[in-house]
Amino acid sequence: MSEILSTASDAFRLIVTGLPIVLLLTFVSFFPALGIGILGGLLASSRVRALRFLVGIYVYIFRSTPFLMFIFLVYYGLPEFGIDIGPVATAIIALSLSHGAYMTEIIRGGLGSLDKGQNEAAIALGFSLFQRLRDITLPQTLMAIIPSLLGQAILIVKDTSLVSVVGISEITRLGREVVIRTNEPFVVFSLLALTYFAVCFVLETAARKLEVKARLVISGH
Amino acid sequence: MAYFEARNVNLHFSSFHALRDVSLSLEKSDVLVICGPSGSGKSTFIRAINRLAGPLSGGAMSFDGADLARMPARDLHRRIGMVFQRFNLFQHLTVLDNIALPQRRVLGRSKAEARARAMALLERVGLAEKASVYPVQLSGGQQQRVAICRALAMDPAMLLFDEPTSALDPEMVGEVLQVMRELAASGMTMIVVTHEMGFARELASEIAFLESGQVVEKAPPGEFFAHPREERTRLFLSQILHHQAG
Repeated sequence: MSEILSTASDAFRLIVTGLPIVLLLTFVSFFPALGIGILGGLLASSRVRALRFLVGIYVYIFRSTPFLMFIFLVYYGLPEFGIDIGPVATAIIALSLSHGAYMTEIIRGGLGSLDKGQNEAAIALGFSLFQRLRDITLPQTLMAIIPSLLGQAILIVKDTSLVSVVGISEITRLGREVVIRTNEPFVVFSLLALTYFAVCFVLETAARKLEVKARLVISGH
Repeated sequence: MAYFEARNVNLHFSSFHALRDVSLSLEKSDVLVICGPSGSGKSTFIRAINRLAGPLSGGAMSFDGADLARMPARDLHRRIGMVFQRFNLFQHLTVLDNIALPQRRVLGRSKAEARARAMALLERVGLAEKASVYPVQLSGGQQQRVAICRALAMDPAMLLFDEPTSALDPEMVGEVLQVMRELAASGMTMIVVTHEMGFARELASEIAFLESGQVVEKAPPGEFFAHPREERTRLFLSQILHHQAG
């Protein structure tokens, strides 16, 4: 019993050190992914067929490759070209590019679901294309897809467990180290699973609250 | 040359010939009412004026002595305002911001100036107490009055109304027509696509009847209602007047 307790306290210590890295990786990857998603979504909705085609290829590639494969590709592949960026940058780039592809699809869908009358009104009032995007189209799109974006953030949290393979000391990797020391995989991984669950639960709850709020504002059509 | 003039305007949507040699004009402070069955091209015509219907395939339009096709988009849109059938208020902005933001973005007015103008207009249409609510919280009639304020705040020289009361419940039509009536009385130049024949009879300087993308008949209201020349106009009038009386 005392062994389990000491294992649990080991695991607790690893959560305290590893969880901030999980949160940081999620946070730091979410915004570039969102940026890629906005750009990709706009290009995918463009009238220029070549742009739509290029974005389509990007999305297709990342949705059809396992994320783990892609981390290895960046981690071992870039040094072949003389680019050595280290594990943390590798993880952030891999997470951003991969989730950027999914966000592109989310934002493309959001843009497509907007009421065309909103854009027409802005044109009729004299807004420039840039003003229409900044003041009308993007705020409305983002508001409508906040739940999907937070859902994507949950997937990023879960994917951070895979970047342990390139040697980042996030909680999954630290957990494996504790298991090697203590030989108590069930206790350790149960605690880890609970930790991931707690983080995702918070995001899930926030998504639901915001969904209700967004529906109140955007429900005129 | 008239204040606004369309000469032999043609417009195609791919193979569909939506406007056929439409020629219409009006003088400053006039109200031109356009009516006709659905699909007749009446909405397409006023949307073509402010470039929401795509490029003309023939003909020309002029406004205040200038060729509309050559006018920069921003000039055209700040001088010719539009009110839509479905209001198209910005759903994510409050009533006040719906009216203030375009003034700031397009006319470069300060926030305080734009808000003051917005409040003055809201008071004029009796909606000052709704300034801080979102469009979905308003009735259709209230939304349309806000949309009229939004267009007016840009100080347009001419206003286009695309079936402004067609999406409203019957009991709300009156409040929107009242605002339009006051606008016409104040000398606003207006082109109004509508089926409200009472409004047309009372305020129109001229009524044009469109069918299949063509102007079938145009006349001042007295003549238009009392002695329609064309059989198609008579048929349309008997249908619509019968319906509105019922």
